[in-house]
Amino acid sequence: MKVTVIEFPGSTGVSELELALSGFPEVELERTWHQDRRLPKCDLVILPGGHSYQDSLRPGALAKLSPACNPLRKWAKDGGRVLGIGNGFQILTELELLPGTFFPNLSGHFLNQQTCIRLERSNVAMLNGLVEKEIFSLPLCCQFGRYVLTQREQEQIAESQGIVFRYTDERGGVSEDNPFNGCTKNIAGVVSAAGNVLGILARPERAIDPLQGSVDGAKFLNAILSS
Amino acid sequence: MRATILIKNKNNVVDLAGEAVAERAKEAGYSEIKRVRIGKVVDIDLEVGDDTGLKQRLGDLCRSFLVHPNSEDFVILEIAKDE
Repeated sequence: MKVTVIEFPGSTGVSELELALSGFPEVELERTWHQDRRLPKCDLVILPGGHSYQDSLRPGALAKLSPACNPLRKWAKDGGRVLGIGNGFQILTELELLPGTFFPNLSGHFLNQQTCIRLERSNVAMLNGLVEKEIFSLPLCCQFGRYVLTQREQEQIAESQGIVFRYTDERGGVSEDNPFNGCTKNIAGVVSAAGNVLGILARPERAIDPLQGSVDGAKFLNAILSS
Repeated sequence: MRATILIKNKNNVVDLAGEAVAERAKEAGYSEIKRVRIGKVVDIDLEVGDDTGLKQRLGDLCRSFLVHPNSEDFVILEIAKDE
């Protein structure tokens, strides 16, 4: 399986992603610099975590102007599979390939903590083999993690069954009255209406070894890579 | 020429920095303050002969990526000749 990772200035998550994917022998990974005007032939494009352009203006706002985002748009519109992790998710919202807006964390502080997210439905095309209500313990590290959808976006995403992950407690409980970090409906990950673009704010590539406190990231990546 | 653009959070957007400033200001004795909203000011120096079509062009710049359509509004405060 060929995977392309688009690297922007400030994409600090690329090396960790490479390390995580090195555990999957079937994966052939290629880095693409954001100024490349063509995407290599591949089966999956990943936008990695980090702080592209130091989050200037808004996270992802300047990255979306990179030349590599033009073929990326076409790739996604043509049904090519795209995974956005952390800042990669934020870039996908700025590209309008996924809905929503990211605001600073509710606390005003940088968040660096373990979180639990719960899969909201089975049969997500990009998450092969995972079943509804599975819980993943993954690290979250972000300054702009408050994910907000407008009323119209909420209606559209409900119709397309686009909510794939919600933040929960360790037992899978969701707090409706006090959503995690002020995120609309506790949403932690979404998929596009066509099902080929998926964004997740937590960082699966940082949960692949027991020494990291969780190996749930490997389970998530395995589902992505085998779909 | 130079232009100044004001970018403000939409009225219904929670402005945490503004809330923090309002709270501290009230504690510091500015009890008349009801609400504070914090935005951005963007100053742009331009190499153009005159301002023909400039307002439209700056509006396009804002709408293309400078301003987030869901969360921000903008006002072109000034387009002026260099001093």
